[in-house]
Amino acid sequence: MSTTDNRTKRKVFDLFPSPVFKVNILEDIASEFTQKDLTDLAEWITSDPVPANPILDICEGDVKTCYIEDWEFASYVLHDVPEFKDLILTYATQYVHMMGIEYVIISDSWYTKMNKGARVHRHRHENSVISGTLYLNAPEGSGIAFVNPTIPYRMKDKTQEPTKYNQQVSLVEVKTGDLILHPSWLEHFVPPIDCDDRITISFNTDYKRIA
Amino acid sequence: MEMNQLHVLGEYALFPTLVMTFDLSEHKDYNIMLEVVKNTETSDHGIMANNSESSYDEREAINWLDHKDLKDFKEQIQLCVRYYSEKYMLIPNYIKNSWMNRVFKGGRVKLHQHPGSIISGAFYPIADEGSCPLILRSPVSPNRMCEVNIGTENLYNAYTQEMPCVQGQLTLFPSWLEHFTNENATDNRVTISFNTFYSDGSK
Repeated sequence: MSTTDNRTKRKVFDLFPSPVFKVNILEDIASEFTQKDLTDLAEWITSDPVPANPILDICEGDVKTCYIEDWEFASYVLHDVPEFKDLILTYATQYVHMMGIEYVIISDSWYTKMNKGARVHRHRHENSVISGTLYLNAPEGSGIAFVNPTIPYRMKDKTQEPTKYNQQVSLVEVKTGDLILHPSWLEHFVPPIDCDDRITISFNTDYKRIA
Repeated sequence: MEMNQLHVLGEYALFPTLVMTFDLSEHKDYNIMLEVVKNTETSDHGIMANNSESSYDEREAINWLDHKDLKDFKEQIQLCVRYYSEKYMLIPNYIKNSWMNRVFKGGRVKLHQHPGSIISGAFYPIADEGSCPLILRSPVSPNRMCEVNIGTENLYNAYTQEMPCVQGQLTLFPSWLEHFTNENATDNRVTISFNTFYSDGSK
């Protein structure tokens, strides 16, 4: 949290950060999944005969998703692939443990397929604790952008160049197999993409005692 | 799979709030400054509760650090402001108004921030051991309504962060960051506080 410069007797404290975590399930020794597993899963979920919800307010362009925007109904794609769900829950458990918050279960989950020019506008995941995205296919240049939650406070800032302290947005680059975990309240978006077949599974979480 | 089988996840601690401390206890003019402290008049102020006083006055600019005998000391603090600004990558900004607070036993400072300012600072010329810390309030805590903390507080789940009140220490933080103190347990806790503005005078 802090670093010390003995020469000038100054200490630097990086307080109240927003924790975002990334792991690649194809590279982690704890995971046995292969590239083919991800490709097969991507093909299987996106070939779902049930019509995907074509338009959500936050999506723009060629986006196909099975996300359901409803308080009573939800998508549960991870329920059909328990081996992936179990692995994701293990990482999520490690993540919330490090955050110092109560353990969670995965609630709703949905796939999203984006083609060239598509984007997802700035949003957060209400009524969820942490959220995450598994990148089944992430063409080169893929990423997710997180929005600085302290922006509303910083009306007086006049900055010279971006640093971790003053940046408005932080772009986290992703590749196939990456799993990104973040607090559900942390606003994020996907800038317009320059490729086809960006396929992801995203999910929300809840607490065991109330889910 | 057991937890200890997992690799450590790649961590991105995004958007931290920059706070810096500086040890100015060996400044050559420290004793002169203590004389100025002794001769500074303070009185009740809305932000100070119970047994505490301030020289701050909303009706006129108070420039405590502009005392003729504290020129070098102010320059030292301005240098600290420059270090902070360079790390944050703020354009140059300068100490404008400055004032003195006295918090006696049982006194406290109410929750507040410093609108109109860029960087704020708290320097402790006098602080008895055990004086109440400056408490910084997390700017992200209003977002965390779905998170339930367990175990001990850590960097990610902290609602507040205590910065110790150490005699001779300067603490710098963004002026927008809300802060306060609990009731002080000592007889002497004196703070020199200040705000900064850009060189072009913009507000």
